[in-house]
Amino acid sequence: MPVKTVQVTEKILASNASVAAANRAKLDAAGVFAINLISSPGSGKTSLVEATVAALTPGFRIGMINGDTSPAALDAERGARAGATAIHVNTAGKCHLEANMIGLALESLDLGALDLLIVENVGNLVCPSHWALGTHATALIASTPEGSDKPFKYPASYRGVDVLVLNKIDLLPYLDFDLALFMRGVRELNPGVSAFPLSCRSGEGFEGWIEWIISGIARKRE
Amino acid sequence: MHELSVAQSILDIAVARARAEGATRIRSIRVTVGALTTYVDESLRFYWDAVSEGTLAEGSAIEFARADGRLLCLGCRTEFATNEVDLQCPECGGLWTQPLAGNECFVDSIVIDMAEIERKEAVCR
Repeated sequence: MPVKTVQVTEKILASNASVAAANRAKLDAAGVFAINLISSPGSGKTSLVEATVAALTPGFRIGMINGDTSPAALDAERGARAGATAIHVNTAGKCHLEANMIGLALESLDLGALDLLIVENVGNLVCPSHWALGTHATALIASTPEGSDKPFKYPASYRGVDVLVLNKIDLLPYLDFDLALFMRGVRELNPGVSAFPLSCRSGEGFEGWIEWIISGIARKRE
Repeated sequence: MHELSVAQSILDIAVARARAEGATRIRSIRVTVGALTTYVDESLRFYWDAVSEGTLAEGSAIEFARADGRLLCLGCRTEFATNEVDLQCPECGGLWTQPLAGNECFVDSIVIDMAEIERKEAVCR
């Protein structure tokens, strides 16, 4: 039986990248600013969504796509209660959202009725950074109880993001978190990244984050 | 466990190409994985048998070639090779670097079985 070697040279994530580009085009056409939130579990992504929605409504219309590894739509329910149009995506065990999951979710959202789309990725600091979704910016949500060494331990995630939120700064007096070391890691891996130390619980430092989002929405409307 | 998705993507690419070539079976697949990706060969192999079952690639061998990572130190402008764990500049110790190579991951080539080509004698009268 003849055996043949075929040169393929096809990027493994090429199909994801093309779906991500289609998602981006759809969001651009509708003038919706979309951000992808990545973090380890428990950093406060959903609390950030709740506080962000509370700060931006009723002036802005917000959609939320929440990815979790189970059918339990707890986070999407929290987003909806806060005032967002929320969709839960069950990744059925997958450790990250992929562009086609976002593409399907976008079909059930009325993009013309939104200004901002917040995608809350699966809580995981390794895998989500490899899958482009078509969002305009990726935000990494770190939190003080995780420890100040995390930029050095998850360089791929810290290097690739457009904005960094350090949540739970109200806990700093009770933790051994070295803010200078953490920020050194962030700056060395990702010079020039916008960084917002804040507390979703106390509201401290929240204005900078909200201003950053509003300027993103404004750019999309131009 | 993102290797499950990666294994599925590798399979989709290999099977589509094998079909286009008219293959009856995929014997082996060669994949190039950059050192700065976080894909683990052993983990990809672990999922390979599961995702390839019942496809043209069932029973095939998957081989990995590691592509070197290269980083540029933005502090002292030294270019250096790296593996995924050591990201520090060997000259100045800086961690402020820009990846130049090593994020790639692609299906390099496949080895396939081809069906015997039926030969028909043309009879010219």
